[in-house]
Amino acid sequence: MISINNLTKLYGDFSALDIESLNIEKGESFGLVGNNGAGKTTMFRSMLDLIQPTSGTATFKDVVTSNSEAWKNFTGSYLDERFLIDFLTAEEYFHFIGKLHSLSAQQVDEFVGQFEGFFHNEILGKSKYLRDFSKGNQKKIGIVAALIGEPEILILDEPFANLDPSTQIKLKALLKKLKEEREVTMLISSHDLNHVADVCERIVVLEHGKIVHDIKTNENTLKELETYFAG
Amino acid sequence: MIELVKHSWKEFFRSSVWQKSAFVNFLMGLLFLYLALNFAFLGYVAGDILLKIFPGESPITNLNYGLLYYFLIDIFLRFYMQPIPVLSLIPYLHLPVNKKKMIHFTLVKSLANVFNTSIFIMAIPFAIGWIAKYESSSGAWFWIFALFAFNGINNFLSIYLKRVLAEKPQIVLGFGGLIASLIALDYFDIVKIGEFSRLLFDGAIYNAVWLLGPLAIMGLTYLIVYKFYAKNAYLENFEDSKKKNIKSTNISFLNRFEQIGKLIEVELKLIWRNKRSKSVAIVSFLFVFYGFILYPTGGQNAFSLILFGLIITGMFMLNYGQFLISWESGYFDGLLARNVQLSDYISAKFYLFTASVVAAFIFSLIYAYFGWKIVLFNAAVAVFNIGVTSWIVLYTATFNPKKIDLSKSSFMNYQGTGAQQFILMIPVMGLPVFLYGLFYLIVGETAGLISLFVAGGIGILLTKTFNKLLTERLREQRYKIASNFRE
Repeated sequence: MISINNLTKLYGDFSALDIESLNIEKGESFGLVGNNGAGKTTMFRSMLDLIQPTSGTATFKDVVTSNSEAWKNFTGSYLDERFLIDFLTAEEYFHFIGKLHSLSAQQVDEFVGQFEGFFHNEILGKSKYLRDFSKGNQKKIGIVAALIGEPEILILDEPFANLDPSTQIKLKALLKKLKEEREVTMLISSHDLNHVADVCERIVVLEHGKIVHDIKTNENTLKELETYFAG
Repeated sequence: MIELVKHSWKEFFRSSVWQKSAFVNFLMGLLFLYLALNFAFLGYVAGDILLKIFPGESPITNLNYGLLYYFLIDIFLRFYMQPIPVLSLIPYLHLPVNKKKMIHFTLVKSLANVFNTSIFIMAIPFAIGWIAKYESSSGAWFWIFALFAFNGINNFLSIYLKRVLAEKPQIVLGFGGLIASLIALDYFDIVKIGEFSRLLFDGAIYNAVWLLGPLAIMGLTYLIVYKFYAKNAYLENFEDSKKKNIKSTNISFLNRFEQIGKLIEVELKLIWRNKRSKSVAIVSFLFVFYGFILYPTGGQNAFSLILFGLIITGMFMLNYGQFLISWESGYFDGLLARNVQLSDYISAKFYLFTASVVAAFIFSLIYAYFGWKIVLFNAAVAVFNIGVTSWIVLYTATFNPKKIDLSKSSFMNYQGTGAQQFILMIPVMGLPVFLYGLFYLIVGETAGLISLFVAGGIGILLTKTFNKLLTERLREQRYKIASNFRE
């Protein structure tokens, strides 16, 4: 589903990303962990064609992301608030994203309606602009917007950060359901080892832009990760 | 208080403007000195020039005749070009610094700008060389004070008008109407502004009583601006998160155009829901009315007609277009990562421009009152604007656009709306004049007009091609633009 070939990003002499090869299967839930500056966001940004890699490519379903725009049809993503149009209301933003996938306002309303529980009644029907929502609520909006248009690939950067505990739990359930019901290929980065170990079947540890661990999740994974980061 | 002066001194000299080489700064200094000397010289010889034009009449009285006209033009220029004094209040709000003092300080500081200094560089040599010599030195002082008062009125009035533009455009419109009717009265010889001007400034030279009126008005404008600042100097106004009730809206008319329509809808909301872009839109709209002043006073030769046509039909495009893409810096990443086709993105902007030009042109039909020739020229320029200027504006927008933070403190966020952008527009405005002039010289007047229609028509016919070129250009530049916006 996703393959990365020799993807590197240099800032001057500093190597922010250096991945020789990485393949992610359809329906795989893939977790990315690493300390600040390890290159997680750089990796996601270069995969999503937001920064120009120094070399190499990311391929989504046979589409090289830097060569064509076709991958945008089946990819949903939310990295940070730069994905949000901050002077729109939540509904308007959802309708806009829906339109990009040729969905009518009504279809979008129906789709978004199922997330009422996830939103905790704090998003829909609130007459305010996205910029006036709290960080956590902005994140919820971004995540749900990424799900519009039935994406086959979902990329989320730090989805658990800024969320309150009950929303974190709801989000985990939501991601698991997506994987089971629709076989969505998911890439999730997080600082919270608990959450990634819980949601992802495969975890990759980045350090200085390089892959240093690539593990299939089992009952010992959390311990393993904790010892790695403690040392 | 002295600390505040020190801080703004540091702010000035540590600003990025000076972060160039010492040599460049030295050259700039020389240039300013040269300009100042020129102004001073102009003021010095103004009397002789006036004496040549109107022999046997007092140059002082003749100069005074023109002063109010000067201040009328001055207020227009200021409204467009004078920077709004920025209250760097936030870091002081929680400190035991008197807020009132801060505001007074900021407003007084606003007097130190190019508009206010250049006139005195001219006026003082004249006052010394003519008024003090032929009338009295106290008269010279009074005269300078009178100028100071009108200068102050314009200074504070333009600050106030610019500030309330986004919230209460009716005030600005009302003021514009007042000025326009004054000019109309002058044009039809009902009330002569010049006579009044002469009465006032001549009077000031002989008797200081004449100063009272202007000084009182200046005090009043100062008070209005002060009140406005004082009312708005709270943190919430800086953060601009007045929790108003907002209705979600869909512009259903645009739904017909699928993705492009949706992109236009978002852009319209951008313009209307952010103070800074809203100001730009309203100012551009006001320019449509400039015809009422320009056509009766500006003459009707072909070149000024083209320029006026460009201002009236193309102002939104030029004004808003300077920051195209930059307006969207806050969510450009989102546009790139989502399913937005770049060609649709460009089409949306092209249609927005086209609609603005067509709407302004339809309004400008009213100027047929001043002559049918105007309609013809405006039509030619409108077609040229749609077919040529719009593509130029779109193309230049891809050059290294800078981040604009629309969401943050729009109350204080006016950087980049000063004279600089205005100057950038000059070459764009010169193009149709140049094209017309070329064909006018080779063939004749009609050919000049036709050349504008044809150039615009070709541009419209080649919409697909230009769109494709721009899409490629934007694709090339996308990483650079996106990283600019991330800082």
